[in-house]
Parts: sequence; structure tokens; C-alpha cells
Amino acid sequence: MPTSNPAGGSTLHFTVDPNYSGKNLPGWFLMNTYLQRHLGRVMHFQPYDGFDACRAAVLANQYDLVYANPFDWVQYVQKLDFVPIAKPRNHFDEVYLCTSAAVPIQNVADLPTRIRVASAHPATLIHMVGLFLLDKADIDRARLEFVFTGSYQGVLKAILQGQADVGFLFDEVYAGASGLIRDRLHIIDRSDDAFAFHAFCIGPRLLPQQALLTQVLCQMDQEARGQVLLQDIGFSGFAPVTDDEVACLTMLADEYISGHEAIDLRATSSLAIDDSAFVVAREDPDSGTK
Amino acid sequence: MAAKFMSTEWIRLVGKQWDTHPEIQKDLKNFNATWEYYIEDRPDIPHVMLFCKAGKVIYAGPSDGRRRDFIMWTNMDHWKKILSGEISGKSALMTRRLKFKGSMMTAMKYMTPFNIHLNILGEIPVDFDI
Repeated sequence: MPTSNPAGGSTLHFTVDPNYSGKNLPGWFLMNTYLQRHLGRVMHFQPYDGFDACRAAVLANQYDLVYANPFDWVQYVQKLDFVPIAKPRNHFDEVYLCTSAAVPIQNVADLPTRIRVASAHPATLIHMVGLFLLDKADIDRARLEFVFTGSYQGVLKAILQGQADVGFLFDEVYAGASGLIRDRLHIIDRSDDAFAFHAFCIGPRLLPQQALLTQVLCQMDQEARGQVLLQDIGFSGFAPVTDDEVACLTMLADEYISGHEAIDLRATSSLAIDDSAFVVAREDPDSGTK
Repeated sequence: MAAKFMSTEWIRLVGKQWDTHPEIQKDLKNFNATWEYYIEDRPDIPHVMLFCKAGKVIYAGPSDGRRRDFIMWTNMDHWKKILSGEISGKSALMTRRLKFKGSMMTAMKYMTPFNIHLNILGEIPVDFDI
């Protein structure tokens, strides 16, 4: 791990979101080699096991290139002037609500009164969307007891070892798990938002090569070596990130990280629920003036 | 005869059309908010609003000065594309072709009904010649 700000050195430093420290890790080392070759720069790759350690190292300015989850890259943009340059093509972060196939929980209604929920980290989009799924199923949040595992591999273990009744699992982690593991899991619900995404972000030292790196990443699928590598790390290709997407996800992350809640009758509706507060009742087209 | 886009008649028809979509009422059964629409490049056209309480539209009419939880606006060209379905709600939001002020978390949490709601706007026969 880099021990100090690498800005003075010639070696670049690259890390990825900790959920990739599992099955796809060898592919990410090869990705590092691929990027070194195309950039003509020496680059060191360092994976992390947990979100907190990875986030702290990046925020300590120890990295030049990060493939980060949406709530982390928003922080890097805001605090370090990082720039998100490429995202998975036609692929968004989704959440699976998973239980152990060994327990008789077939759907959300079967969950016990007190629900032990395994989640990698509260400051992730996966956690937020997992909560939304439970909200939509009318599960009162007062019933939830969280087991924060620091990684999605930890979520898998917590589910399979019976330490949690249900887990918020990043869909890529489920897809990347072995058939043996998947057979031991049962998906009781899933998101289909197609809204947020991981992204490659570059720090100030890589800004002069932003155009080149964006082009390298977004054209990986157009050459044989790149195609093999994409397969290794589980993507079909990468696409540029737009300023509008950054603005949109920044709004979302800011609200979540600051403790904002979605408008909800049961949570923090900004409006009184009492009917007497409403001056005007519904107007029908046939009854009112036009 | 089609209602003039963004008129009081049009928004009231939207409110009435909402009643024919039980799925959005179910999805929004825990949702309570007001929102306003307007046309960015037509400042002469008054803003209109909807008030949804527990999934049902209880007010559809001119924006009347009450607090709005969300404001959605864009230019006429983009409105036409959104209402015709040429641009999906999510795409419009992410690319900011539909400008949005309010809780993005709420928009994401209720993305499916958000899309249905834009479809409902598009179901009303509308006259864009305003």
C-alpha cells in the first residue's frame, strides 16, 4: 500500500472498490498491466478488503486511478477533484435481497419479526437501495438489526453462516459467485433501477491523460486483448460518464450521506397528513373553470 | 378536442387519468407530495401542479402557491419527446433533459411510479400549439 502522497513519484497508483477483492481480482491485476501499457506509465495496483480502508486511502490522496462505487466516487469528486471518466456500458448497480436457501424464507413476508440484515456498509448505494426494497415491502425499519460486514464477501458469509436472515448483495457479487455459492442462496427481491453506476475516476496527476485513458477504456471491446480482459473482470465494455450523470448522482449521494430521507408518509414527509391542511380539494375537469 | 398543453384543463385530465392506473396508486400508497410542472421556454404559460396523497391525486390545477416538494421543467421540445415516450423518464432525469428540483432519493426510490406518471402525462391527447 502506498504510504504517502505519491504526487512526487513517477509511479501511478490504482485501486478498485473492495467488492472486487474476491473472484475477479486476478483480472484487475491484468487490467493494471493493460492500462500501464497503453498509458506508457508505471502503475501499481493495490486491492482492499474493506470499504473504510479503501476510502480512507483514496481520501489520503494515495491513488491516481480508482474504480469506485457511486457514493465513493462522488466523495472523491467533491473532496479530491477527481473526475469520473468511464462506467460499465449498459450496466448499473442493482441490489439483490438474498437469504440462505437452507432456511424456509421464500419471500419478504416470511422474514421474522426481528430481521437481521447483513450489509457491507451503510454509506453505500447498495445499502440505500436495499432499504428501499424493504420499505416497498412494508417492512418497518424498526424491525431491522444490521450486521455490517465491511465487504460483500462478508455479506455472503453472514447469510450462509446464519448470522443474518437476509443480506443486501451487490448484483455483480452474486453473478460472480460460484455456482455452488449461488445454489445456497435464495433471491427474495431485487432492484431494477438502472440508475447508479461504478466509475473509473482519475486524480489530478492523470488529468493530462484523461482523453487518452477514456479512449483506452471505452475502446477495450474493440481489440482482442481488451475483450479477454473485459470478460475476466465481468463487463461488456465501458462508456464515457457525462457531466449530467455526475450532477444527478452527486445530488443523490449528498442527500443520502447527509441523512436525508425519501419522502414517505411513515418517514419524513414534508407535508402534514391531516386533510384539514388542504385548502383545495381535487378539481375535476367537468366541474371547474378552465 | 385535445387540451392545450400545460393548461388547467390538461392537468385536470392528468389527475383523472391517474385514477385509471391502480398500479401507481399502489406503488405510491406511502407517498405524500406536491409537484409542479412548467415550460422553460414559455414563461408566459402559468405553472400547474399535482398533489398526491397516499397514492391518490387530490389536487390537479394551477400552481397555487403552496409548498412544492418537486418541480419539473424543461423546454417545449423536450416536453414533447418525454410525453411521446421518445425519452424515458429515467433517461430524462439522468441526462437532465427534464430538469428536476426536489429529493433525488425520493425520485430514485419511486422510479417505477415516476415513469408511470410520465406515461400518464403522455396519455392525455394534447395540443402543443399554445
